[in-house]
Amino acid sequence: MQKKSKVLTCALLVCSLLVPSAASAASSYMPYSDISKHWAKSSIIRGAQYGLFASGGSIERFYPNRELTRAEFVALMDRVFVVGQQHLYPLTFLSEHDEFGKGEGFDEPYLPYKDVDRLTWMYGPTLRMSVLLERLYGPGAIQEIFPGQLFSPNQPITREEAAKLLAIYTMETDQQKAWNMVNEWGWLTGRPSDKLKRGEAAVVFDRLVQFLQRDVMLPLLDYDGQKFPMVPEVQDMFPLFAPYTDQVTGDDQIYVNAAEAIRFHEDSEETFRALRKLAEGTFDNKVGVHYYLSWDPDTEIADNLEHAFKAIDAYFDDRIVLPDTLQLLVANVYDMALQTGSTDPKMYEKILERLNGYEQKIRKNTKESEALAIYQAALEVKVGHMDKALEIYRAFAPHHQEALKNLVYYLVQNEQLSEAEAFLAGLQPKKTEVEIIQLTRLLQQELAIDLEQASIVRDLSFTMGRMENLKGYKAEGEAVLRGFLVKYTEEVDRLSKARHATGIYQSPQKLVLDKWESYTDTEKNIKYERNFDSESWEPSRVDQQEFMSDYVAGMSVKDRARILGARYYKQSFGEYDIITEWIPGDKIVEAAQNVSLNHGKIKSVPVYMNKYYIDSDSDLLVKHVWRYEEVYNTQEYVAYAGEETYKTQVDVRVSIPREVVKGAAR
Amino acid sequence: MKRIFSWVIAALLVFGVSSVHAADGPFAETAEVYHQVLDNHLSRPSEKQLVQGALEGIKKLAEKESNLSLQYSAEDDTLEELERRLSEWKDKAKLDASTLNRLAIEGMLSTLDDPHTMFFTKDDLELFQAGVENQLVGFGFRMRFQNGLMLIREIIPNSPAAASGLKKGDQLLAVDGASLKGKNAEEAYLMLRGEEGTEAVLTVFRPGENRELQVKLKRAAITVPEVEGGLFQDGRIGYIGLETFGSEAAVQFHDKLDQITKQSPSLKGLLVDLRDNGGGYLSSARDIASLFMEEGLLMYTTNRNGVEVQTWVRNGRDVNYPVRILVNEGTASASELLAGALRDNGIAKLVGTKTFGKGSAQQIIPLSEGDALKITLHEYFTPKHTKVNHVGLEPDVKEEDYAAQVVRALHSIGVNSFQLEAEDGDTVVNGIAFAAVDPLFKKDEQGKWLIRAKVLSSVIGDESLGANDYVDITPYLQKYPTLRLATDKDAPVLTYQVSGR
Repeated sequence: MQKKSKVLTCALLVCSLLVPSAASAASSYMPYSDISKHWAKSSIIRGAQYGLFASGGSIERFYPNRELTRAEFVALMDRVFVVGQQHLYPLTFLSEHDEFGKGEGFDEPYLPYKDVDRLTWMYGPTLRMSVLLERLYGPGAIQEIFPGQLFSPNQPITREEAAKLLAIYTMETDQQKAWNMVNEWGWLTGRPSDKLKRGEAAVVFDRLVQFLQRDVMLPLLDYDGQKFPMVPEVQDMFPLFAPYTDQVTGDDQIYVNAAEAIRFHEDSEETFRALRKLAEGTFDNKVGVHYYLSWDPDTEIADNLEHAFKAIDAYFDDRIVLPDTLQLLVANVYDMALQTGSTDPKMYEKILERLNGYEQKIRKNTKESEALAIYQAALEVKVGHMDKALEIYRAFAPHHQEALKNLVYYLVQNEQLSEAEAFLAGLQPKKTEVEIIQLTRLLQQELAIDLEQASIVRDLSFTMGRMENLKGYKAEGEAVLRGFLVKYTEEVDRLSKARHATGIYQSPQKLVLDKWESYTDTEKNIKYERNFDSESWEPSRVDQQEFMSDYVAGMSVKDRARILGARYYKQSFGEYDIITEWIPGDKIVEAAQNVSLNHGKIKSVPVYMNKYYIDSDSDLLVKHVWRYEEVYNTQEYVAYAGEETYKTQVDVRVSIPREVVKGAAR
Repeated sequence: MKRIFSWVIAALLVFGVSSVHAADGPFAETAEVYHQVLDNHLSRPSEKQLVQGALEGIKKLAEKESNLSLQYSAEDDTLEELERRLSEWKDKAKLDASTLNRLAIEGMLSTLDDPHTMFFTKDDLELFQAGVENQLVGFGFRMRFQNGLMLIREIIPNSPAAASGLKKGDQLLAVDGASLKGKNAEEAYLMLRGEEGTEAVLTVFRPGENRELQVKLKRAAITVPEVEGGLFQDGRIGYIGLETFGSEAAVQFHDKLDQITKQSPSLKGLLVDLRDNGGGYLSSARDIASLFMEEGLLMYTTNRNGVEVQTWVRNGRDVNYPVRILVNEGTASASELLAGALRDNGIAKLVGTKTFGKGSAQQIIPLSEGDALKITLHEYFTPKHTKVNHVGLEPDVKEEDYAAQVVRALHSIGVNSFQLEAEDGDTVVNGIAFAAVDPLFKKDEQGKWLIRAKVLSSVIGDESLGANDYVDITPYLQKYPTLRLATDKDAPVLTYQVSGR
């Protein structure tokens, strides 16, 4: 096991999902016989390479001039979701582990259409799209795009319908403007009512995939508190730092073998012993030797850090400018700074000081200086020198993606929103700088969302207030808490101050369902729960907080925004307003230092997200979806996720039967 | 938006300690089965029942096999006590732990009065799953046991049997010289089964040629199509027979149905043959039901905790023709589920005899060492809450004869012309052959044609002649002008036209 953390590796996964396989990436690759002269040829070929379009076997033609059907378009959307899901995760909470589309609870989801047969190829993709849209936009969302009881899967799709589906990736808050937005991103143009040909669709998906591979949709959103300060992705963590031929001998061979062993996690004490011997001798690849010595899991991290710095020293001794190499070497130091700094914050300062020492060896405003600066700035953030960090970022943000994201993020944190806007407005990227152009747009969109925060908080508070003032309502829900899957119906009667819930649950340790029933006296804060085995009612206090989520749920929306730094995002779609709420885990832990929970002291909150679907006519809540993950000091991990739908147009009367109270008293 | 369930958590804390199923020690498997059955079995067995059952099972065998008398207390009612006895007996009776485990488990399971909860070794499990998937090692024919006779009712394509001279309708008399006379179906099956690659000599009687013959066959691994079917000769009525609800059943059924409706776009009716279909996977039954209803209730299931759950079919498709399901006493489990659901949703009528009556659902739980436990968790009921378990489904149209069941089903969906003939011992109804034990026609001493009474009765709708086995056909030819018998080439063909339609 490596002692070094794997912070560096995380980012790598993002890009590799859709890399065409080497075999099919050959330049002469021609998957279909009817596209060699077609204008969309290159997009079609790329699509086939990505696996978006079936090819090979008995498939000979692409039929680029045929119209694409609704089912085919939906199937393509479904395949792109492989890359798109992590972009949409902050809005869907659907993790990769969920068997997406299969339903996470008791009831399998199904389509609201009568003409999509479950035993056909199109059923799976259409159902998954429907589930996705429903999660994003609320109950029945797919019928906002394809109304009625018929999906007409074999009907050609219009450009407007296609745009409405593509709009899930635009972060456009108003679904009415989907067409314009998709136009503006340049994914799809033409007349809205025109059909889409298969060749044209290939271009649409080619553009979308490129877009998704460049950046996430909410670049500033940091729902787990781990994203900022942001540093570049490291492409190759295990280079040799010098060219070696296949036939290496002597010291070269010893070095290459050691590096390979570390790369493939096959290193042993012997690996590092050999490297140390090389370091003591005259072996010339000092950069490589010290870099790999810094990976020794059996030495103290302070020693590893020394080797990491020695590698940088060696780099400058070589007097060859290699910005990517320098970036990796500094990333290595930064990685260790994060490890040591989390327990000893002074380490940040020490390491930063040493890094600053290299500045004089580098020409200003070069790729090399940026390779160092991005980590200097990150450490400035860590030590609390926000102004210094901003100054560093500002210098190269106009053409550096991470610098730009960091700059805007920390300007917003520093409550310098208008400066962030002005900076973005003043950028003049070249036409070829597509990444910067896309990122600038995304950041501008996100700043616009930031401006909305106060009004979203007001809207959500208003809805919550409306719900509190109802005489009663009925909730139907499904949830998973610590592996227990529960399906329930709860009636809430505010006049009699009583709640009644019935349901079933699946214990992770049993094969069969159990019943569940409870009454709650909301005046006395007592809950009576049925024990079906002993046929008795068991009382418990409900004003004590068991989990962190109980504490947060007890706070008003305004407090969550003010104290916990909750961020909100509001979209409108059909009859619903959808508000997504993210609460950074570190803020919750900070705020909860003095809160006593039955479950113990909270250590971290990796995820805390809510989604509210609000009927825009009545301002009442239609549905609530949540996902919370909590880690306690006891190392216990508690995950709680679920969804509830509300029926507010019902007459709810609950009275707690006398035998319940009496039975519990016995 | 308050979290509403806390009792659940209390439950975890309570049960979390006791139900660590992965126990250690020589009797871990006994403990695993004990916990699974105690916590989950439909019948809610008591601790004492299981412990006493396990002890009793071992005691009996030890007495029988080794004349050993093992003692235990009638008060033993905990797993700890059971395990203590097992360790004691392990030394005393010189029984090894795995034998004790087997006996203890079988003893526990025997107290449940539930033949469907069973212990599987790894080999048993493979055999069971192969059976559901219609995969088998054997010669490649299917049998039907009727009136004490073993009848080859189907030869599987591309199998050793297909390559040999065996024919549908052959009666199996002996395996490697050992007679099958007086054996039941299970005993015959045991005589026929064997390892892949081994050989056997079968002695069969072929009624059509009135002779006995011997065939040498090698056993091979065979996957049998789960679905067969086609159109009756008028081209308006479809037939689909389903052997088992394996994982391919729904797709095969779907494809077969599409093929039939493509050949005959204005299908006037469909016969679904679930006779001798012992069931399989619930998911396959649900997918097949979805080929008949766009949306509808499939069943209710209940468990030991009184929790009732509805299972729905969604996103299926409707049919616009009448459906008849052929059922018999071998129609069991998922077959009964499908038949009951389609009947209660007004889609199909059942024709045949009362079904088997297996209204419970099992799950297979892996145990350590590759063994498994098949355990009954649920009882199911049809959408109209009809009980199936131990009761069976009563058919809407009753008929005992295998061929006559087909005729009555066709009658009930308005078929008005019939053509019946015999072919290699089968009875061919409107072009589709069905295995028959008793030939459709016989000649009496005077050379007059006799016909199987139940079949004739079903054709002409005359219920008065059901009591006899065979009747002289001549008077009926006179009584029913549209009933005709063509006897060219000594192979009679009976035709009948329903009058007034």
